[in-house]
Amino acid sequence: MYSPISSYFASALVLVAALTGCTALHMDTPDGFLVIDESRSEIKATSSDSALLWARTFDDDYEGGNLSFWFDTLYNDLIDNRGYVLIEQKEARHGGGANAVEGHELLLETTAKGALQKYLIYLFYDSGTICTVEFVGREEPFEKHVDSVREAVRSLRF
Amino acid sequence: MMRNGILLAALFLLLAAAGCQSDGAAFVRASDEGYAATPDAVAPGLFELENKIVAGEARYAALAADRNAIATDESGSLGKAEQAQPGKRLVIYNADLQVRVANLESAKRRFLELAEAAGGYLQQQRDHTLTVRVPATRFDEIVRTVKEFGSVIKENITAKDITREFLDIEIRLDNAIKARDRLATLLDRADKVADLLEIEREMKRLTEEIERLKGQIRYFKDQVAFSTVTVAFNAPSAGVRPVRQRSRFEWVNKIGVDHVLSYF
Repeated sequence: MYSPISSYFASALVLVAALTGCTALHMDTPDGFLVIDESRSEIKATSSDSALLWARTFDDDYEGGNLSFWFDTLYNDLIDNRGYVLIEQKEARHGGGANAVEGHELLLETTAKGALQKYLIYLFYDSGTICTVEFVGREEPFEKHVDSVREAVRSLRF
Repeated sequence: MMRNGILLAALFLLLAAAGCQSDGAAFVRASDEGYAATPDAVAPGLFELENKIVAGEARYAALAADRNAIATDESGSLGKAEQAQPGKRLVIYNADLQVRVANLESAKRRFLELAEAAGGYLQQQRDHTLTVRVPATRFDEIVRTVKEFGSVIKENITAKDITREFLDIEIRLDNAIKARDRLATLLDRADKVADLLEIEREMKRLTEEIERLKGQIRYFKDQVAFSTVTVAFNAPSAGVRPVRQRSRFEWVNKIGVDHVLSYF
């Protein structure tokens, strides 16, 4: 009954399944940013003028969760609950072709650490994984880097 | 006897009716000439003066033609855009908003940039209250966008239809121009000093009236073409800042500016 060939085959299948089912988070960080922390589920990067970029993935622990639900939840929490001021809202996507994933982009303002902070957040959802990309900075560094951050988000994979 | 009486009464009625009709016809013609339409524009004595000088139906017609030509030129100088177009409503839009924003300076700057990008301009700024004039075609867009700057505390939008008022001013202007032109013709033919003085005084009054009406038309045109948007920006005070509640979804609590700044 036992066959070495079938054993190898089974091991290979397990390996492939593990690799495909647990893709590490990836994003090409923009020029001028230094990656200070990187793991399978997050990437932290900062610019020399203290603009902060943080991409993360979270497991969706709930049955039936989807992009629409999580976006509404996040939107309501940031704007209605925390009082962030919405500047702009639009659709977003990362990847390309058949692998493109649709998401949302919010541009917000709030006050923290005694100063106005501009805040760009992306939300994507794919196969039970929530992915966020946050970009925070005071007005000047934020405006300086925001276009390159938007460009970098297109390279996101999770 | 009885029959003669009835005939006499019928004849009397016919004559009376003819007299009334004659008066009515004269009124209609005068109205067509533009005289009866401006009872307050020309002093009553001038009608008598005109009767002394102008004689004959043909001369009336020639004068009316001249007047119309002159009036058309003068009205035309106001531009086609100022003329009320049939079926088109003339509406003045105003918006008065109070918006609570996270950052006053940023909100004011963005509001001005928004207005200027739309072809508008700053009319007044007092502290954190800005009044801009923007093209009426962009009014809805500007109001909708500025409301997204923050939380709207007060919103008051008015739309005033001035179509009838505008048409009335146009008619009054047209009549005043015609009356003044007619007086100019009479002035050439007057031979008494008293008549000359009376005509000149009336022409001066009409000229002032024409300038005033033209000014009103220009004002209305500007008010219709450009809407007024006044926004009072308020900074959030400690008393109105929302009290943050933790989300029931833990990943949401790990999102946000405070979290990013604290965990870097």
